[in-house]
Amino acid sequence: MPADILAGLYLFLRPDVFGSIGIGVSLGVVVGALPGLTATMAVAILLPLTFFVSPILGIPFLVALTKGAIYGGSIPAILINTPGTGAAAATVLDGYPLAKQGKSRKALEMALFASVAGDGISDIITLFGIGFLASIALLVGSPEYFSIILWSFMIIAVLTGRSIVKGLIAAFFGLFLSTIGLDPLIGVRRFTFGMLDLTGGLSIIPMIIGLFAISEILRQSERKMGEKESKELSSLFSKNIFKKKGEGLTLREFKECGRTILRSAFIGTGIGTIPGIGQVVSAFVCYGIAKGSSKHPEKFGKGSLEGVAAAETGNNAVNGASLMPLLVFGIPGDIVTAVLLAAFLVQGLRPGPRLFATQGPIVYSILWALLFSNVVLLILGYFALRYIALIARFPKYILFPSVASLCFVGSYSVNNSLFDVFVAVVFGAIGYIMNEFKFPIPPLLITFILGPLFESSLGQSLIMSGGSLLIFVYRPISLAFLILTPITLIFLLKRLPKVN
Amino acid sequence: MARKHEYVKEGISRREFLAFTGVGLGSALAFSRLARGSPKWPERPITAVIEYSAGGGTDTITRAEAAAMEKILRATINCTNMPGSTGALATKFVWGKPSDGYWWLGAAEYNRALRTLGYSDTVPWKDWQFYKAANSIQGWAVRPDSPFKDLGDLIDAAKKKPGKILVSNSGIGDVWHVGSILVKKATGVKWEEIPYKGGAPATLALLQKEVEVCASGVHEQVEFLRAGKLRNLAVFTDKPLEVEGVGTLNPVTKFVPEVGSFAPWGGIYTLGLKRDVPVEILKKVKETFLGAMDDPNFNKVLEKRVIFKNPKVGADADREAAVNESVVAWVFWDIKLESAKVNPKGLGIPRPEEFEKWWPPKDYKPRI
Repeated sequence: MPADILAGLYLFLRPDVFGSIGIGVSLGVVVGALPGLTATMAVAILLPLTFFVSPILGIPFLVALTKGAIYGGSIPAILINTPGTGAAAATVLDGYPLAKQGKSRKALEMALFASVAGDGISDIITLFGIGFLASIALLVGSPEYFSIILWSFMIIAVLTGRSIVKGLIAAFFGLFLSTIGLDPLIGVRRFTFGMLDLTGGLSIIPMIIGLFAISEILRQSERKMGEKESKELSSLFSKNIFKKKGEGLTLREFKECGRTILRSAFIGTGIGTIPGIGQVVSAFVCYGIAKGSSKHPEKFGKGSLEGVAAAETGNNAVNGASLMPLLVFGIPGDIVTAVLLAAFLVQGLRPGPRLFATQGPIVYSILWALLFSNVVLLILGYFALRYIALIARFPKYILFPSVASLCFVGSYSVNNSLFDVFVAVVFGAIGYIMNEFKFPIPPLLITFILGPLFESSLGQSLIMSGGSLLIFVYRPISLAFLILTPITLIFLLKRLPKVN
Repeated sequence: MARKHEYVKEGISRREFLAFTGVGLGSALAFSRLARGSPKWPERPITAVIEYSAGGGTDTITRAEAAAMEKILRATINCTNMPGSTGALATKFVWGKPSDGYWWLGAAEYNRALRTLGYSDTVPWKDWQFYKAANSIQGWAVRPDSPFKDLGDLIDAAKKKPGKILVSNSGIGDVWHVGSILVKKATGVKWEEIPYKGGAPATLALLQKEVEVCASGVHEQVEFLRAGKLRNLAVFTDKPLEVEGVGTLNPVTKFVPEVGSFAPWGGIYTLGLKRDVPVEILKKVKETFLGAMDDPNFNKVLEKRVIFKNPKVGADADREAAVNESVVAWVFWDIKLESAKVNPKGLGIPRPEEFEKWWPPKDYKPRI
């Protein structure tokens, strides 16, 4: 095995590999930064291109694309409250307030460094630990999924809003929304009202575009934007972008978030090894835990760099780790890894128990390429930041209409569906209303994303146990998370300041 | 000023201008008549709308077919995905497009379940013309330490302990679940089915010891079979199946001869065009499709995915589509699948046992 790791390193050190990674990362950041364009779409569309090149070029390209995109989503999240990808939804919580305070460059730099740190740590763990860590997937069966998801619901409902009751209401609303469509076990139609478009359920991207971007556009249009005011606002951003002193991220600020970043990287890596959970959930869980462990929890939601760090580390740390169940079992954790699976198969790489035994060196060369793409992301990202931040200079009466058209095109392009555009608009209204009444959006998103898995885990477990709920208690990991749920709840309630 | 004056003098006269225009218009008309007179399909890119998401089996095979057909047709075929509702969204979309041969449907299993699920009124063998490329094959697998040596052992054990043995599948109503139902119906045994989100998680559940048997595609189990981490009980074919790196696998008919008429059973990769597309175009698609079956890259994709080439076009495809509809619609109805809303009887779909007598029905006419 160590011999293969070294052989892989040798195989990967080629200029064309570096080039392919460079293009992948850059393209990924652009795709991620455009709301509505997702890493998934880009990977699916570009997948056929990789058929014609060797695996060491094609696969790192696709994975670098994903890494770039998961970082890229933070850019509009910070600048215009619009997550470019679902994974950046947690970044808006503190990123946008920071931008409003004129600290957008700090936030952008933190997002970059946190993303690279999270991805890097997770890649190192994957590279050296894939053998024994992949077996974690073997331990997580249906009852474990149920308990783990229950625990993560609780964290997010409690920690991301100011009112726990409102958080729980939002969470239940999200859970209800997740039931629209086909039930995950038998395929019965629920709440579809005879509409064919609803049988597939609501799409997450249009929903996110609506809840964050469109609702923000509605909020912005509420304010009377005088010419003078918009000039002031945009100059506020631009002055800070180019002034050298004091506006970039200081080393001290980064170090202060060091523990948060490390913690989020490990949590994100752990979440990545469990197929099906994903970057969005990881971002929010890390955010929630960071808030609960922070010395200044009251700053979260108002512009805490720690919040941005936790969210961005958390989402990127999933990338490397999600390759573990994919490579060792051929189990894709999400759509991106499913497409990667196809890429592997076409390239003649057979994910599964024999992959490392028969094709070790090339698989390790791909993992080394992944590790290297973090360096590329760091360099390219840092130099691109000053130009990216120029977006904030645009007066809002140009910026937001452009964002709006991007939102419509983006919502349409996910499934070639006009219905999705309609969904985005409806959720724009819902997001606006939720904001007015101070209902937090993250719990809604998380329960919506995890709802189907939560329900099918419950169903599968009960089929296995013949209907007995005791199955959740008999299995040690499941029991552990079940006990952890109320314990964490009590611990957090004591730590967090009571808010009216 | 002087230059302008010169220009007028040296330029063309009105008469010449009119003459040139006349010739120009006349020749344009003449050529356009010529062009219309010999329609050359395809003149612009073709769009293939795939019923499932990127990266899956249907997607990969359809894209590989398209790539091979592009070379023969010398035209561009753009593949796009429109997943949802077991293919209903893509089907509805292509159905609404003009019947000009530029809109194709990348479908699976001839859309055989859509009518009975209430998702579409269109009839696969009457409203569509399908071209089938290949099959994936169902297999039942166990862990190496399992007491079941082959499918016969599983059936015997299920007879002794009805409803107690746990078998994973990729979803209720999915290909592998229906395959298991066919065996259960023929033998009268009962075992408990646990649905997972796809063949890969269903296989993982077996490794995790959550279930005793996994019913999924051989292509989903193959790496584990090759590594010796799983053992195969049988495959849904009527002859022994050679799988590279694993050996010869038992056909299901060795233990349950009655299901032979359904073999081979598994995923079916079918390309569809609307039936009222001009016959010349449908015929050209047929030639191109069959040519693509010999394309080396296409065959490589199939081989890598352990999917078996088994092309059917024209009347053969129509018949296979009708058989599949019949089998699946009645299985769904008989097991009272909640999502199967429409009674096959009302749709005029015959029971599988009566299919031979019923085919071809009076209103059926082969198209190509």
